[in-house]
Order: sequence, then structure tokens, then C-alpha cells
Amino acid sequence: MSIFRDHTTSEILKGLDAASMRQQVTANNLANLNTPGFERSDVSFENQLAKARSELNSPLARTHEKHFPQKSPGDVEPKIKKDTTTTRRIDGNNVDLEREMLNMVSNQLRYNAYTQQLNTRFDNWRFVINEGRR
Amino acid sequence: MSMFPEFRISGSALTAEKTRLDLIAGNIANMNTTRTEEGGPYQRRTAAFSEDLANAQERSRRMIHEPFVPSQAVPESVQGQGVRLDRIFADDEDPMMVYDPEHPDAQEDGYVLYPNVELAKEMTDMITAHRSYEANATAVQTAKSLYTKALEIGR
Amino acid sequence: MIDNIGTNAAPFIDRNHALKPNNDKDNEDVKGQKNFADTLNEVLGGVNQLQLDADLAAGQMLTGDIENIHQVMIKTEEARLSLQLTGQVVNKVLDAYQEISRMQI
Repeated sequence: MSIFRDHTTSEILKGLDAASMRQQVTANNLANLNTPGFERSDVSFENQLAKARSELNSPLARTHEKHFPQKSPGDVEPKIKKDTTTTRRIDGNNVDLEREMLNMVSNQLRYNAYTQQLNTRFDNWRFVINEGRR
Repeated sequence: MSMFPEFRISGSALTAEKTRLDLIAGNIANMNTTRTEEGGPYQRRTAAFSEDLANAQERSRRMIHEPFVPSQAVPESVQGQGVRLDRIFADDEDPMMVYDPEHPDAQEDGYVLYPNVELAKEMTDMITAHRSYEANATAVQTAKSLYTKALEIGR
Repeated sequence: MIDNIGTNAAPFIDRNHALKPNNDKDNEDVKGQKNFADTLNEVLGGVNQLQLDADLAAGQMLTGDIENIHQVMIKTEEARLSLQLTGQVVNKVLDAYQEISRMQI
């Protein structure tokens, strides 16, 4: 594996995947703003990651093989989930225009933040490689 | 085109809303058309849309046979491909009847059949379609900005 | 063992050689540590793999297989950085060699 992919960088890469996925999902939600019966979807990643991290500090005892296995933060992947909790309109559609627009804006900012992080890391690497003296 | 799925998805929406707007324009333009080629008054046109699940159906079919993982409260979903036009059809609501015996298209009882188009409804639909069009156009801009940012990685 | 070191990038894209697992047992010192040549080979193998990854990603981008352009950009940058790193390492090795060869006995 690449020597540049430390733990945090891998997480940032997954975050980028999630943000990219989220843009697609939001685009699909918006495309079906007026489609009767359509259920909106979401991308879960950051919340799952936070949950996995907090569970790391309080390990659950697994006494039976049918217990859910504890998810380690390294295993968390971005996933598309259907949103069944939002209220629907008369035509069965539960897409809220304003909410999607807000999601889109915040997602864009997140994407920018992640790419900026990556660029900083690459910059650091470049500095070490090219300027480091013996 | 498949390199930019967001454009394809939002593009499908722009096309759909444009279609809606075209139909609405046609309805409003023909609000008072009492005589058409087929005989009776103009009938309101409307369209039915549904989510475009082109390749997604393959994936969703496969997912049904996968074992249900209890750690997931909500089963994983597939990426939709936007919206597609199912069909354009004529609204078969009864035409409006206006009493006007002098009208060239008046029936024997003196009533004229006017198109089943309500201006208020058409205007409302038009605003809805317009809102959606603008939102999806913004989505295209956002996707474009994300790609631009991605292309700056490493520079 | 250390072959194809040059300033040209082409030798690094070594398509004819599959990555073989480095058999350390044959080359270990008496003390059981990997010698420098093996480490360098490993690193070069890794650098080669990164070039292949970036190449593959770029190829997929052309055919439209890749949906995430950021993946392509990241792999390209990683490949580029690893090349620079290798270049610097080689420079240092050559410097060290020259300095040693200049030593008066």
C-alpha cells in the first residue's frame, strides 16, 4: 500500500468518497422533487465513523455469537441509505427542496475542506522529500 | 458522459421540468380552444414521471438476495439515476360547460364545451416546475465546483 | 539486483515483472536483518506499483469507468511524489558513494 496513506489520510479519502456520493444522491433527490411516491436518500459516513470511534472507548462485551460485532472505525464505509423518517406530502414524496439545497451547500464545503487537507498533506510530503537536509 | 453522473442525473431533471413547462405552456395557450382536429375541445396535457433506476434495478435485485445484516437499521439503498418521463397523456376530466348559444361551437342545448384547463392550477404547476428547474441547475453548478476542486488536488 | 535506476520514468513502469514477494530468507544477514539492497528493492517495487495504480486510474478515466475523479488525482499525485522520493534517495545514495570513494585510505 502507498506509504502516503496513513490512518488519517485514509479516513479523509473515505470522507471524499462519501461527499462525492452525497452530491450524487442529493442530485437524484432534487431530480425527483416532483416524482410521486419517491423516497429521498442520504449518505451515512461521518456519523457512523463518530459512533465507531466512541464505541472504541467503551468496548461492548460480546458474550454470544449472535451479538452484533463491534464495528471498528477502520471498517466504516460510506453507504447510501433511504430516508424513511421524513414526512411525506400527499403525493407520497418526501423531498424538501430547502433541505436538499442546504445539504448541497454544506457538502460542498466539506468536500473543499477534505481536498484542502489532502493538499496540505501532499505539500508537507513534497517539502520533506525535496528540502529535507541530511 | 458517464464520467459525470451528477450531470446526467441533474440533466434528466432539467429535461423533465422543461417538458412539464412545455406542456403547461401548451395548456395555457389552448385554454379557450373549443374546436380541435379530433372534434371536441382541447384536453389538458400532463406527464407522468418516475425515478430512473436504469442500472440500479440490477443491483437492487441482487441486494434482495443478500443476507440481511442486522447491524444496519435501514437496508442499504442504490444510487438512482435521476428522473425519467413515463408518458404524456391527456387529462380526461370533464370539459367545462359554458352557456353561450351564439357561439359557433355551441351544442344543441346552447352549451359550449371549453377545455378542462384551470389557469390557477397551471400557474401553480408552473411555479413548482420552475423551482425544481432552478434547484437542479444549481446542483449542476455545485457538481462542477466539486470537480474543479478535485482537479486542484496536488497542484 | 538494483536495476533500471534512471531519470526517465519509463523504467519504473515495469509491466513485464509481476510483483514477486520479497524472499527475505535468502538474503538475510547472519544477524537476521534485511540488508539495504532488499529494502531498496521493496521500496522500488512499491513505487512501481503506485505508477501502475495511477496508470490504471488514468486509463479507467478515459473509458468512463471511474466515477470519482478525486481518486484519479490522488493516485496520480501519490505516484508523482513517490517518484520524487525515489529520485532523492538515489541522489543521496550516489552522493554517499562518491564521498566514500573520495576518502583517502
